[in-house]
Amino acid sequence: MKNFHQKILLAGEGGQGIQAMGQILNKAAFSSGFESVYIPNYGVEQRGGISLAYVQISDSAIPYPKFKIADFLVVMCLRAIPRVQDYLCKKTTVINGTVFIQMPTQYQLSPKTHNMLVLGILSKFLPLNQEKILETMQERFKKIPSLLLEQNKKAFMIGREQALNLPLYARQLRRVMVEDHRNWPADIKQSKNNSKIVHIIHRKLCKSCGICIERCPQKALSYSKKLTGIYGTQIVEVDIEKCIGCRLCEQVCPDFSIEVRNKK
Amino acid sequence: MIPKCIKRESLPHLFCPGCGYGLIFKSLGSVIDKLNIASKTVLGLDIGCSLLAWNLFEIDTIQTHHGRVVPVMAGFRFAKPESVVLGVVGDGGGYAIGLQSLLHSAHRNDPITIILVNNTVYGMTGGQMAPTTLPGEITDTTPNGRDAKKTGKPFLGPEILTTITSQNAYIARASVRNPLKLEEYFQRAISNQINHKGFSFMEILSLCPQNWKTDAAGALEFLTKMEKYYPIGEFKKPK
Repeated sequence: MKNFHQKILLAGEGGQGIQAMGQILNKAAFSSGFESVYIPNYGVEQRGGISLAYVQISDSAIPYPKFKIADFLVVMCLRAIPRVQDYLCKKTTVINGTVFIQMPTQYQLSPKTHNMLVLGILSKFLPLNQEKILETMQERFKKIPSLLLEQNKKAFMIGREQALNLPLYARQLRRVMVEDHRNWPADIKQSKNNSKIVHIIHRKLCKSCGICIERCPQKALSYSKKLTGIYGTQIVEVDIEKCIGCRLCEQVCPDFSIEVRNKK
Repeated sequence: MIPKCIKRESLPHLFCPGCGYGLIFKSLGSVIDKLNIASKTVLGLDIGCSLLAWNLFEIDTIQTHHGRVVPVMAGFRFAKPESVVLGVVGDGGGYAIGLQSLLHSAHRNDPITIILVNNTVYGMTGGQMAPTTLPGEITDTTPNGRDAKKTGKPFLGPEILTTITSQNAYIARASVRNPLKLEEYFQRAISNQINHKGFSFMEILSLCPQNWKTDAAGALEFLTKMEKYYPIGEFKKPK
């Protein structure tokens, strides 16, 4: 057998599940009979920091856990791109996970499963057994609710399917910059009964925290089933006929995403 | 409406979903607009979640060492008396590591405005116990709930500062539940500084659904619990 040695760099934002991906990949490779190392690299911050995971899979002993050129580069957020550009070479296979950030919601899965979906795509390129990865996932996620575990497994399988016909822009680091969230249109609704009330939700700013839903005195707001926000989570939608234009949601929104116009 | 002094390119800001800082900076921004002081304002940010606002405003911003935002802003104000200085600090920075700076600044009656955000935990490092953690509250470092006998009772900042400040100080505690009231308090705290009267201090009860490990409904419920322990209102007003 030809000498097999793959260096995989996973990069993303703290909280996206980069380290969970690295750990699962590492253990699955080891239990499949390969030599494998994994080393994390992140700061102390929960948010706003870049999190990296170095994984190496080989059929012989691995001398050092870090590396300079990656064979596989997986990027989960746009801000991580400048940090990992030095690891690229012509032979590097790039998987741009930001392309798939809306996909879990499209399949009615939790947005938390995004990392497992991307792991599914990556695993298709590696000589790892699908069953082994699912077993490792079960062991790693034994503390989370069983519903979420099932969703994670489903997302992983969707990822494996996606890998068969991966769009070209998901193999490049650049293209997604064009599909920036800044160009997303706002969700504008005007009341038929009271045409003075216009309710605008800026999709590019909504983080789905749900404070407006709790505070609305008319219970006119709820999570949308179709539209997703910047974190791939369901944004808030208004039942405009219930809205009385009190503007409380606009006041209590911490993300500047709601605008209510009520002409008097 | 997004306040004019907030940088449009920096949105969406870096705070977690449901974070109280969004509401606090929104209210602060609209007060800065209302008083028309954006050109002479300097915003000081402490270490902690507050520093994620480093590019949020179109105003001059300094980021200081942990707990040292109070002396840095006081020094800035002494060097440039016509400026308006705002220091934003968390409960860990203000009541734990930076308490001596805060106490002496209040005692000297420095003409600065300090905004202390109380969310009962150290937010940025993952929700450890802070001086303001409520009795029985579960955090990373108090897995069985905070034991008031061992670790003391929650720290009541404005109450303590009220006793050591002079007549012209402005001391208040607000909550993010009511943004309009928050704006009103901000306006008084900043006007007190502009009129060269003295030390202005505001504690703001904030939301942290990420570290309280809850959703919006749970976070607002916890805020009600906090409001019971920490009374809201103005403790001292300049005459």
